[in-house]
Amino acid sequence: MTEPPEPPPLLRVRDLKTYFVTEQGSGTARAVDGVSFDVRPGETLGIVGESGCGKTVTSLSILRLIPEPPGHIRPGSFIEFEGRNILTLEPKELRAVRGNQIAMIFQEPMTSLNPVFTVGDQIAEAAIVHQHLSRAAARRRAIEMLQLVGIPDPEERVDHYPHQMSGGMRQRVMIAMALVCHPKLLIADEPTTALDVTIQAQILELLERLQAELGMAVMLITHDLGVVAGTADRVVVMYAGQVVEQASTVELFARPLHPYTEGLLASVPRLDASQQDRPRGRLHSIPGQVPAATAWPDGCRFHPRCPYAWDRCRAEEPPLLESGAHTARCWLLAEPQRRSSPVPPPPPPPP
Amino acid sequence: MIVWVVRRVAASIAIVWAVVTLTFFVIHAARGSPFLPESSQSVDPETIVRITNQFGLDRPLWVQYVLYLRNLATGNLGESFALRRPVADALADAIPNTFVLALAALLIDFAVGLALGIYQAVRERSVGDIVLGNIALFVNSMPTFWLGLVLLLVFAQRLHAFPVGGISDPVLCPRLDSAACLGDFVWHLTLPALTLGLVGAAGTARFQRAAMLEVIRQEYVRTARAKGLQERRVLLVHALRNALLPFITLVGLAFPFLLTGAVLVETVYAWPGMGQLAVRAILQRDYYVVTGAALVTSTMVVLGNLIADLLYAVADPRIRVRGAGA
Amino acid sequence: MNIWNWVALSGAAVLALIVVGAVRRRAGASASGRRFFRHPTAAPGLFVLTFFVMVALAAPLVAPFQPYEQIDVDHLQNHAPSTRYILGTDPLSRDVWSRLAHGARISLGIGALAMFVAVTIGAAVGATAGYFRRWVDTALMRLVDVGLAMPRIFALLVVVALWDRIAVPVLVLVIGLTGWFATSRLVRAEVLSLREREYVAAARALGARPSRVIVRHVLPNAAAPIIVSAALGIGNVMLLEAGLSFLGMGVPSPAPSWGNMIADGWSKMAVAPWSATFPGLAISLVVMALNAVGDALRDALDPRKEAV
Repeated sequence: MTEPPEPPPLLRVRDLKTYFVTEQGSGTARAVDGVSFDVRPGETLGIVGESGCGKTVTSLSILRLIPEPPGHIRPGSFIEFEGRNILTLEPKELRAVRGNQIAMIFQEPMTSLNPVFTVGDQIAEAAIVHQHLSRAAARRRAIEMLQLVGIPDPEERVDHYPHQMSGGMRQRVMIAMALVCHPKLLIADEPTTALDVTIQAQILELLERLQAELGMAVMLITHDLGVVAGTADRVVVMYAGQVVEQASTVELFARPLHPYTEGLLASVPRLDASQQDRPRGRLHSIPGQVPAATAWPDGCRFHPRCPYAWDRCRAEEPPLLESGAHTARCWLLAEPQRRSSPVPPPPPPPP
Repeated sequence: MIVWVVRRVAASIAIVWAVVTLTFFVIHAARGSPFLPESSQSVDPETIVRITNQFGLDRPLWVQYVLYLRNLATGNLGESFALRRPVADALADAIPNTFVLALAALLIDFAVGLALGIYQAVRERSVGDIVLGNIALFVNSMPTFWLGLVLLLVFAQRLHAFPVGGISDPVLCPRLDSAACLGDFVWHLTLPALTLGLVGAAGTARFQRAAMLEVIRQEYVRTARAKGLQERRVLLVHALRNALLPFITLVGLAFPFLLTGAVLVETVYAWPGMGQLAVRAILQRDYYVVTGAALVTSTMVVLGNLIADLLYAVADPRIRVRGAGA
Repeated sequence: MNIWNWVALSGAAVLALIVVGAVRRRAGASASGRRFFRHPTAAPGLFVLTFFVMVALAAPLVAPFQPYEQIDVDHLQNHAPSTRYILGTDPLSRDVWSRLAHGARISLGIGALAMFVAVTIGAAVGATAGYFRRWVDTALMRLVDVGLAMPRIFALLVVVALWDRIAVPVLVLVIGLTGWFATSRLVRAEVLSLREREYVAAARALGARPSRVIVRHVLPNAAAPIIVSAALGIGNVMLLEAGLSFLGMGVPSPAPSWGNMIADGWSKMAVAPWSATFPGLAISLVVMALNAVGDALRDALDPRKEAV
């Protein structure tokens, strides 16, 4: 029996390169250096990596929000949304996509909301601009949205200013603002990083619920593996401007192929780790630091910090190699026997 | 809110009182007195008697001060020896002239300065920005009175496009009593207002450019773009509304600047305003005119600051509406 | 101007270029130095300043005549610029360029010295107010409010009236005494924020006297805004001095200041504009340079701008 054909991906990113010109003359920062992935309709894709790996620049590039000097998206990059090439859209068409078909929420809700306009005005604005609602109708929509995101007393809150609200509520307002036009894709750039842990859980739950209700896809960008484990269907791991591993969440946690992912998973402290798992009782960390985007290492960019690295890694940059639906940018997939060389403690199984 | 206003008003009154007091004592200590035989004007003996009675010129200085305050409370600002009229009348004639000049200059200052500053910020590092920025820098660095002299030279003396000074044509329009005379007044007002206004505009442009650039860098501007808004709306609604907040503090600073500039510009253009009045009075040791002018100018400065603070409190919702603990 | 004057003038220009080049090289070593020179107007501003300072210092070398010298009262009044009198002569037949060069000494000197007085007083008052707070702070800040309530030129005019003919050093003091208010507010704000830092608490815990804490720990960190306001303030002082002299209440004739040169030339503006125009141009250029340098300094010393 043949499988039903998969629906075409909502978003296709191929070989995205976004470079920045630095002022000091230290050269070009190749923040995103050949990134490719898909987002399927209705799925949650997690993009994971440390700061400096290019995940935020990737997300900004999709909506073309990169400031043109000093940044630019290199020709040869390809971003397609619902069959249309985002990079060649006219400004008017691009504006019709932003906030309407693809919406974005940012990390810091206090600085991402305009302090001199009410919360209601800022939510209603997208409805007025994209759906041509009247001010009264847009205001009603704003109140509906506030209710949808779980803000109590929405009729009152709609006239409040951002500084009158707590961090968690402000993030809910940002979500309301992003979803008012029922976008097909929501890009969430570190939506919970600036929030307390308990609020984090609430916001993630909210996103899941809304996603189910509205049937939209979510691209969740974070450095926190715990966030990804709970909510993402598939995960893309980024390092040094490149995708280094891509798999379903379950697969990734069960069988990480790239040493960087192994390291990330091992770095998460666990209360139930036994003494045998941690003979020296210390927290595991990946040695070294993320290199500067102006000077990516030669060969495999992770090799200076990799416990398995050998000559080939230092000389040749590995392409994304496949192991079924699971891909990783590592020579270990070509030479799996080298995995028995000095290794960190095996990662514990996911929750 | 009310408490704050009351407190500020009380403080303002105290400040004005302090300024007047200081001025009183300093100007009385100045060398030369209007009554000495070598002074340029002869004060008629009747005036001397009257003032001696009202202000105690034969009494010790501190008594004179108390008498002055007492007279002030009843609205008697004293008499001008040089002009032979009550100080209040002289001020009442001069203040509107300075006021109109300052207002016209303010309009030019803000209209040109804001537009320029915003344009420069939006087109940061373009040729226009750099050229205009340097011109603004140069104009902002000029002595105001020197610009006045240059404008007078070029437009009045060489091109004969504007009058060489004064407030009106003394023959045709001794009083402002017809539409034609209004036109004559505006014609006389143009160069002095331009002089004051352009130097101010250059400063405003520099300031507003920086304020606008600071705001454009903020994340909520990026959010506005991510919502799919037109760039024009992003800049002129989302960004500008925030960039106007620091501009309001500039309004408060405008008063002292205009009053300072007015002193010199009025001298250059022979504009019969308060600046000219005060300078002459100081030179002639016309005591009560000087203290009267100090009273008026410090009141205007303090009022300007008060208005600016009020405006700011109203315009910035973070101050107007008290926030919940974040 | 004779050939030696031209040589001296070119020498001044070359020296200024060398100085700017040397400063630029030294500045390249630090991040703030590089930030300073990133401003396109910073280097030219520095050059203009240095050049005028050189001219002021070498005034007797670059000026062909004495500043008080009335060359030929009958025939050379208001003579237009020529090769001999490069900027023309003023209504009293004095060479404008010579007076300009000597006047640089007075105008620049007054600017720098008065600003120094103002900054010193302002820093002292601001630091004291910010450090001790409570009634000391309130009292001092009320004083500042009063000082700022009168337009500066007014206050200056009234105070200067105390003298018939004011000597230049006294003028410097008076201008300085009327100009410290804004600096004190700035320093006070810095001190208030710095006061809460740990190293201040540590110094106090060690029993250091308040003056020592202020001078050795607080002020060096408040130095940045002081320096910037000083640079910008000198320009302000020069404009004020020009205004005062223009009204006849500043530097007394026949000593040349750029301001009283404008006053002298004003009456003949229509027929002989050069004697009033060139001093004003000189003031504008120097103040412009000071503004440019001040702006660049503000960016260079701004601690928030550490990374790109």
